[in-house]
Amino acid sequence: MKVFSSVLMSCLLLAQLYWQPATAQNLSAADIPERLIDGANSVVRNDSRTFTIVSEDKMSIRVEYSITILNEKALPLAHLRINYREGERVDLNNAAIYNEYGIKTKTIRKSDMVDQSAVDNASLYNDSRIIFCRILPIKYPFTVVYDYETTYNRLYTFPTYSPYSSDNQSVEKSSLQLINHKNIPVNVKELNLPDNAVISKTNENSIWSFKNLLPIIEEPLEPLYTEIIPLIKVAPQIIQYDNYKGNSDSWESYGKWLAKLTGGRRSLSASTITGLKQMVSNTTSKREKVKILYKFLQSRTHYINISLGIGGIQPHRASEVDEVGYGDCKDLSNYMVALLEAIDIESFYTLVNSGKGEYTFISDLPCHQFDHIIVCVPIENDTIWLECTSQIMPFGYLGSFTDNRNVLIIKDESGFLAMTPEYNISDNYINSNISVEQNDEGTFAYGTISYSGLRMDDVVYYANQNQTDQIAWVNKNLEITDFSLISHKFKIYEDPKPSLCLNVEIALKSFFTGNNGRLFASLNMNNTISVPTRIRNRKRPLYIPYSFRNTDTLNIKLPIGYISEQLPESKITDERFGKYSMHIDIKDNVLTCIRTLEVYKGIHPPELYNAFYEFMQKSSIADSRQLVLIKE
Amino acid sequence: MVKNIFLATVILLPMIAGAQKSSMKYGKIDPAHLAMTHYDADTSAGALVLGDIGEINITYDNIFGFRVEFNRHVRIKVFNSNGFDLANFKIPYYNFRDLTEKITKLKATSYNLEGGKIVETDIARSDIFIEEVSLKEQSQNFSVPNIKKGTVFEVEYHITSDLLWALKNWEFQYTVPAVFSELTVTIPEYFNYKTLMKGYVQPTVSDSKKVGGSIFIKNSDGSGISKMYTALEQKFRFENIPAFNEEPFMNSISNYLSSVEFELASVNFPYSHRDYTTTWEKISSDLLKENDFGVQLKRNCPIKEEAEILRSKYSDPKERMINAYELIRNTMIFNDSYGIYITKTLRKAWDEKKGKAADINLLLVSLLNEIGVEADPVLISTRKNGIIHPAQIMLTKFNYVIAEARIGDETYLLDATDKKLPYNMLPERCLNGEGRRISQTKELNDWVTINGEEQNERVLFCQSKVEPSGNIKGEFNLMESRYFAYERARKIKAENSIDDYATKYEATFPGLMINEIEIENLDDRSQQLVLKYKADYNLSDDSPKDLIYINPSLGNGINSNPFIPEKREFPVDFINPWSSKIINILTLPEGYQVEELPKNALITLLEQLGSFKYTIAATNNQIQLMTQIIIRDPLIVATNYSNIREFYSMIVAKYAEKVVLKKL
Repeated sequence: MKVFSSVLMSCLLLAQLYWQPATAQNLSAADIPERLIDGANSVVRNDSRTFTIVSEDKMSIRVEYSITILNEKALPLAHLRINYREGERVDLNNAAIYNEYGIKTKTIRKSDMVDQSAVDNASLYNDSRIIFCRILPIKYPFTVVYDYETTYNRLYTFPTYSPYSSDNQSVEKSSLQLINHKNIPVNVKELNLPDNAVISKTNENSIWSFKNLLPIIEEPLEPLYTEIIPLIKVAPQIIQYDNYKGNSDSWESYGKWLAKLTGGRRSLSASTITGLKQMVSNTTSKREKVKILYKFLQSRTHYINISLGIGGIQPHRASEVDEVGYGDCKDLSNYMVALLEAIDIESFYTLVNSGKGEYTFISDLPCHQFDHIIVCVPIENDTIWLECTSQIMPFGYLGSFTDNRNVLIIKDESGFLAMTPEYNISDNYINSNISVEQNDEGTFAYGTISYSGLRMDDVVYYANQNQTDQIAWVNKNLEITDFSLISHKFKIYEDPKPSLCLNVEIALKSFFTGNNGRLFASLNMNNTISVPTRIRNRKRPLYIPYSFRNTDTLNIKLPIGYISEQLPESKITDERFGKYSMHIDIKDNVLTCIRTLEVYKGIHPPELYNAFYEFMQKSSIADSRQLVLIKE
Repeated sequence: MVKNIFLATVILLPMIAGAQKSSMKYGKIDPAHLAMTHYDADTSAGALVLGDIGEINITYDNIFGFRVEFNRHVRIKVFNSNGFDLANFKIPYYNFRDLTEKITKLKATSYNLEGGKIVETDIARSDIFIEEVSLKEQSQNFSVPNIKKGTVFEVEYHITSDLLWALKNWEFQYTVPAVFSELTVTIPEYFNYKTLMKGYVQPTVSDSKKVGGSIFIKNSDGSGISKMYTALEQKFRFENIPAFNEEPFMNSISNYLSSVEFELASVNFPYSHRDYTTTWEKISSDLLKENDFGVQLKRNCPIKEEAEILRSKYSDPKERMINAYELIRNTMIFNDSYGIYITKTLRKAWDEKKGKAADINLLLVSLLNEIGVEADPVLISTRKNGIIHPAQIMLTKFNYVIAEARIGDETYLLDATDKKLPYNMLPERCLNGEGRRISQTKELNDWVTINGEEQNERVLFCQSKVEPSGNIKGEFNLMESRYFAYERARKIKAENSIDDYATKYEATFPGLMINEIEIENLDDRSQQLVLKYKADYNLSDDSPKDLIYINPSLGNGINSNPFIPEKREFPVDFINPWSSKIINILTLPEGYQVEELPKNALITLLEQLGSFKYTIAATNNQIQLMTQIIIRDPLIVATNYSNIREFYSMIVAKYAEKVVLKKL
């Protein structure tokens, strides 16, 4: 099951609420319309959420929610889970379980719940808490009803509302109400609303209502959920967070408020500044200076999340980080900006919504939509972006975590949107050049596999682990059916662009198989092609998130006295999706095989999914054909 | 990735260490350690534990009585950023009602060489956070400041504890190598603890000696007598300890990590005596007297009416047992809680229709006895909890209860917690060596072997037809038993539909396209799971070929060696014996004949442990392939690792061989 958490929990700082309330209603499972059951594991019976802007420094969220769980796949959605932070008030009005006939079988009481710390493994300490109650059904279907209200002593972006909380979920009734008696200016953004949505808006009271929404069934290679499911985002234009007052009617003003939070927190001691200046005194290149200080940051800090109250958005002072040597993304990015400031290089504290693929960003809604901080160093024609929480990231590398997306740059007491760089087809590759040789001691393969762009993301981590972990990774990830690793070495390159090389030497059990005259060999020792799953009735567009081009070269000395019976050369092209080719040359008894696969980024209508499947399937079959040799 | 790779492990947590006369003095750092750039024995290590000294003392004072004093002093050298996380500490402690643990004398300091000078940084009070983990547990969290490449840091703390019944465990092995790790435990004669040493690394020192102490026993008028006692001081020291790494196909790491655990066995004061565990017989008789264990079995069975029906409906005892088992399994909801004691009473569990494994399986024992089937509970330790060592008499090592029924000479081990399993299969978590039967009948209090000997079977039967293009059409029957079937059924049910499963299944075989699929016995694990499908293998374009190369197993064999690493430290554990068979009858296209056929083969693994058989024969227009892998002994010790690796190597090579067909 895929819970739409990245959508609904995109608000880093506020309690993440995704339950709704129920009013008097027939909760019998038999009353659910038949078409809402088909393909569903759960049905939202009634979700009524109320966002209230109480005053300029107070807001509340009421959640009245009832959900029928049809089978155990949806059980995780039944558990009561209220996240909050210390200082926020949670009033639980009602929580109960109903059987399939809509008869109440249990009232959930305080004693059934735990209220405990929700400090995760990545945090040393923060003030997040959770109220939790695990539901253990005796029989499916059953219905859970919750009603609670959380009150915040601040005014800030509300969590994203969506009638759905998971795939394979249908919605009988769902609504969002925004109460704003004080008439405080609010930015509201509606996305992907269905035609049957009923909307009524006044200055003081707006209601969005939805009925009978069918379940969304996950499909491979589909657009982001944020482009599919209905979403409403509500952001008051007035911000009051602890003692920091501000305004978010534009990115400039929201940036101004953030600048106030980060301002004056970048001074470093005179001795630290002297030390930094000394470090860069031997170079005049700006890029080189930035690199030296980035390496300094990586070698003497590490990531620890400690955040309390406003500390969720305000960095610790650079001087404090300088003393202890740790902090979270805010602290370390702010520290990096301070380090560069000390040597008179301008750089910017930059907010980003992180994550591989699953992020959302609404560029015309200035408000809190971020969960991570990076640093932007403007250099003419070559802006450098720095991820400051990692000790191992190559200089200037962002990877899939923060690539190609809108970010908010804080500059000169203001803010503006910019894009992080995109990795294109020539950046994204896994290439290999491998030679196979047979001698008296056996069969050996040696060569290089190089990784770059989005395709080096996962490898960077392992390249920085100890020998034991590296060896385990290499053993697991070489696409060779049987071998012994003799040696390996990772090398990371940072200039001109980040890339990574793995040199390997392995002993093969055998390269050729067969003991009856003919010899067979697979030529695809790296980058074997995986085919997307076949879909009979594709509903949503095909989404190929990025382009890549892999090239693999294989050199083999042919055994003496053999000639080829089958050379698996081929070429498959589909202009819409990509190209595959296998090209073979034999010269002086050495066979050289070059295989290339290109796939192009793009969005295609649903009916083209099968064409893409066929392109990949054909390429995969061509790629797995074997070389066959026969005695002369 | 970036955000989560940092704090994944906080090792070194659950320990206690003491004010210790040792080779390490707080604040006295060896400059050689600061200058170190790597550790010779493991040059890639991110950090090195220079020393970790623990001391546990049971002390007495007139106000508080006996308490546990624990002191820990650890010193670590950091080589690179992979070692930074070791500076993060979360020290949990118990704090509930009148039983408390208290952390005192917490110190943390880092040492860095800067411009030839040693710079010390102490942790500030304000950088230590107290987390209210739960109602009963708190934790002190901090990160040692100023950690960089090359840093040496040390942490020392003291815990005073009222929790006498189980002393904290000490682990002698870390995710990084260690120079030494040492624990000294001093226990007055009044307490008797069972000690359990585990792990593959052996201690360098392990000895014990007697030392003296005294207590003052107060009378009500304030006078009193002083009494001398002797205490046993045990010392464990490990040196040059390698880093600990996990391997695939491995049982719980707790079986292999070097550690020592203690459990209170008896308390024997001058004027009173309380025995806790001492012998297995004693454990049994104590447990039978416990309100939340044995007493429940002596009470009337809460399932009267249903028992009456079972008695009258089934006269055959085995049938009666199976139906009783199914009644409990189908009625009771398992709340995923383990433990050997029941929640409240069996009656309450039955009324609520839910409970822990102990509730459910003791209910089953009670019901079986009620319907005249002899049955007793069996205590076990789940796979994750580690293996039970019969020589170590420690009740706390058990964490789960199953039931055993006896009919004539047959015994049946039963666990009614999983609705997807039949009476003759235990959940995989239970298959972990031996369990201990707890019975009213003295002579029945004995060990029971839990691991089943019945093998998991898989048979793939194919009838396929080769086309002149080299493409193949076929009908397939995949039949699986026991845990093979259980695992596949789980995967099928995780999908939205059987068609979805078919597309996932397809994707694991190049060229496979399933046209029709049917599944039998998806929910009934007393039957074989059958997957029937009609499919095409599209391996080529449609033009007829002069030569056709075919893998006769159609890719259903083992295509890559699961044992790639050359060495292995821990046993390979398949959990159950198993067998996997492929039969393929390939019909040749008209006008083609067999040009080349692989040879038959028989490969054995260490005589009896396993075998692989490959037979292939051609008649006029057909090729018949039969292959079978059998693993008879599921536990293969590390010293035989190279044999199993080689065994798989030969299997992979054999399955890669091709049949060649030639056009006439």
